[in-house]
Amino acid sequence: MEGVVELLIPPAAREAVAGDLRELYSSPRQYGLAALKALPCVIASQARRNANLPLLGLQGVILYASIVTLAPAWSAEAMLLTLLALLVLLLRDAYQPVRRPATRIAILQTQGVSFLVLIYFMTLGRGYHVPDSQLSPLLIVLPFSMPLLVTLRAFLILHCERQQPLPDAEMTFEDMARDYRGFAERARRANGLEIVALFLAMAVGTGLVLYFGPATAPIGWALLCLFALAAAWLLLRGTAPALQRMADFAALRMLYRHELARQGQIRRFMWWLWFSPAFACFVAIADHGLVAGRPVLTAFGLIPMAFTGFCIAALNRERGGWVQENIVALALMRERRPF
Amino acid sequence: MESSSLGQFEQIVIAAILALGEDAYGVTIHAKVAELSQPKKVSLGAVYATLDRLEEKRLVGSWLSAPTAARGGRSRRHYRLEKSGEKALRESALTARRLYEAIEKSFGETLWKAKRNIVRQS
Repeated sequence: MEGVVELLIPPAAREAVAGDLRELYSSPRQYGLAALKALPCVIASQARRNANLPLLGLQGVILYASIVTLAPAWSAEAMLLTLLALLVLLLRDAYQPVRRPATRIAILQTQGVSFLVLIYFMTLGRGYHVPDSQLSPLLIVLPFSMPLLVTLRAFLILHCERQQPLPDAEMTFEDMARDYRGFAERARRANGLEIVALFLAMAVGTGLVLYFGPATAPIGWALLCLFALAAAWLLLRGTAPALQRMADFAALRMLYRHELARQGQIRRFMWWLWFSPAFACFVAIADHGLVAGRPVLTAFGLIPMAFTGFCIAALNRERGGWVQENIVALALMRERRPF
Repeated sequence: MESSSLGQFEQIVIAAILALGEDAYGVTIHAKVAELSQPKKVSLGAVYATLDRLEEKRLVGSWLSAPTAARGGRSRRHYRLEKSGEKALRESALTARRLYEAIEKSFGETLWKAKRNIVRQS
């Protein structure tokens, strides 16, 4: 029973909750009842704590809009399906692993996805004729997002492998403060780059919306507003706070853990935001195929959509695992007093 | 940092952490909270959820101890009150005091009778 209970406890709380339940153990019945009472609260709390509400909102909108575009008569079912999917995503957030996925598995997945991308391009390259002049640039340009994602993931795997993990035993206050300042500076640079890129994307996006005309205007302007909101938020709230003067080791450790998690959530959201225009285009391609009665075109829209979703989730798993590893290392960290 | 207002249960959990000092972790906090919340019963899960919320508000901090055999090789998650938590608790205590004085002024001796009845019933 202990093994089952431990499996049901979300990984981030497993160490403390499983240990507490073990310490309170008096009989199997008492243990089972205590676990039964504690688990729903622990799962709900972890889901709330790890949930990224803007990201869940974005994912919900992408999913709902995709289903409704492809099957306009199913709006009620689409809503139900979206809510179910969001519930699953919330639970997945609660059970977020505290370690990075094994590099071997990540590389195998990347190879598998690369193979599928190759097949996709070979099929596309067989001369599938697209008579619609508005759609052809999308078909040619957007599938590049897949190899781009595969490359990014491979890069991220190597990058995480190379990163120096935090030492899991002791650190002096000064060492940790230096480490935190370095992290805050990297976060500041990453956010600055994202803001510049968002403004550039908005400029290009405005041009594209004007070029493609009224057909793409509603979704185009909505995406541009979303990009503008994200840029404004990053500008106002994205910065990691500076270390307070009177902070002690425990306060610094808490701030560091909090910021690691927060910046991780920002990056998670940004990955999905960057690829949301691609999702919109994939849905447009699939919808065009449905309207024109060309199932191959529908598949050309839906397959990259699934690939892209998988790759972004994998990228976030990789990075999220690295963030969680560091948060656990910080929780275990002791202060080493300088001589 | 802005001062956070605390809910009643949050006040009890923070007071328990303050009272326990170095020994504040899940099991001991739950026991202390149960003692402070009498006659109400308190579940361990509610304590975990509140601790998570308080940590997220950065009112308390936590760290993992070394694993012990009594806990099946698992670590304890210890909690400590942060300065912002102390400030929030002080504000709550002052509010509670003002509230208590206002009620006492109106009810006078009957307040103590009601309290004795509650204790007797429990």
